[in-house]
Amino acid sequence: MNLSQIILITLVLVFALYVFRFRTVLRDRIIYLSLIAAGMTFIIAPELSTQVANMVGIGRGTDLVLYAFIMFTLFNNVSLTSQLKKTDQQITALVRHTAIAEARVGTIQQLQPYNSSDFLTKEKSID
Amino acid sequence: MPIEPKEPIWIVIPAYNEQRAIGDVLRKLLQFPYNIVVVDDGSADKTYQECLKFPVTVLRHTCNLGQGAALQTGISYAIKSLNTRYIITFDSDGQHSAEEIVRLLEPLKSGDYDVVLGSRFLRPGDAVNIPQLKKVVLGLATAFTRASSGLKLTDTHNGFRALTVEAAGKINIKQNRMAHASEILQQIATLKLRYCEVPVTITYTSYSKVKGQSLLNSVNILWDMMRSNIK
Repeated sequence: MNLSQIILITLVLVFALYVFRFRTVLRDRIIYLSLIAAGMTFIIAPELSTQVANMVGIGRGTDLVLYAFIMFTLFNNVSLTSQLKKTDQQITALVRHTAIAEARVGTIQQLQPYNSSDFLTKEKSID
Repeated sequence: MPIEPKEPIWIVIPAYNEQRAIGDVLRKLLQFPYNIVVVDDGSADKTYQECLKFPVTVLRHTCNLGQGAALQTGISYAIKSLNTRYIITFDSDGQHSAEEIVRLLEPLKSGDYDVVLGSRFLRPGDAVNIPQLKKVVLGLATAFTRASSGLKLTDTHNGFRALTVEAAGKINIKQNRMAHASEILQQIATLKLRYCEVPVTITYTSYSKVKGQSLLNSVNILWDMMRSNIK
């Protein structure tokens, strides 16, 4: 196993740890900005990517950029999933609220109300 | 229909596209003095209209969220109702039997337990017509849940449960879809609720077999559990 393989596997594990333990929106944004900065550096100095790649035992700079791109895509995916999860929670809260606020009781019950019908009218007025 | 004072017990029934089975389920349940709340989880069929033909409370999710979400909606509603003591979760497809609710309530009424879980594997012959493959997958799921939550259970994916209103108030189902079964058990373990299992019969009819979980769906469940752990 060469150096680059160790680095890449460590990176994947660190990434997983980050996703399940240490993610915050601020940290996400800092990572985004650093990735943009790194990307621009490689555009300005294309030979730099090859130099860095060679240092860790990857033949071509293009390969390094490809690996970075894959990690970035994964990272982006996780950010989106997390955001989607929040939206899901908000929709759930909203749908649940509406469902409870608009509770209806079947026909026979309306003729013969039972003790919890007090609760129904009370709850509507609270909400 | 017998009109008598209801016991402080709520039956929570999540229902999704159950217009064919829900009527029979409600008819059987209404022979007992329990309050019933059906949560129609955004069904595309006439489940909602069908339920309104019975003297039960009906809640409707505007869009389909999943069984876990429907359960939590029904439980939230039941908790807010006056004088609620016990909450039962019950399936809408006719797999559970209404007569067995009494047996699930017994351990709660003694005050020794907070949660009672139905199990189809405690007594031989309780899982009526269970498909062989289903048995294997449920066995794996049970082993997985036992290992991850540390609860000693024989059936971890049974929708027939009884909870005291206090315990129900502590449990918060965040898994909208099918992973809620494991999530509830996880919370029972974390909250250190006192639990026990009671044997119940599960009847596999041709209807419930079609409606039930496809086995591949366990992949979805694991996926949802992973996803919920993303910070």
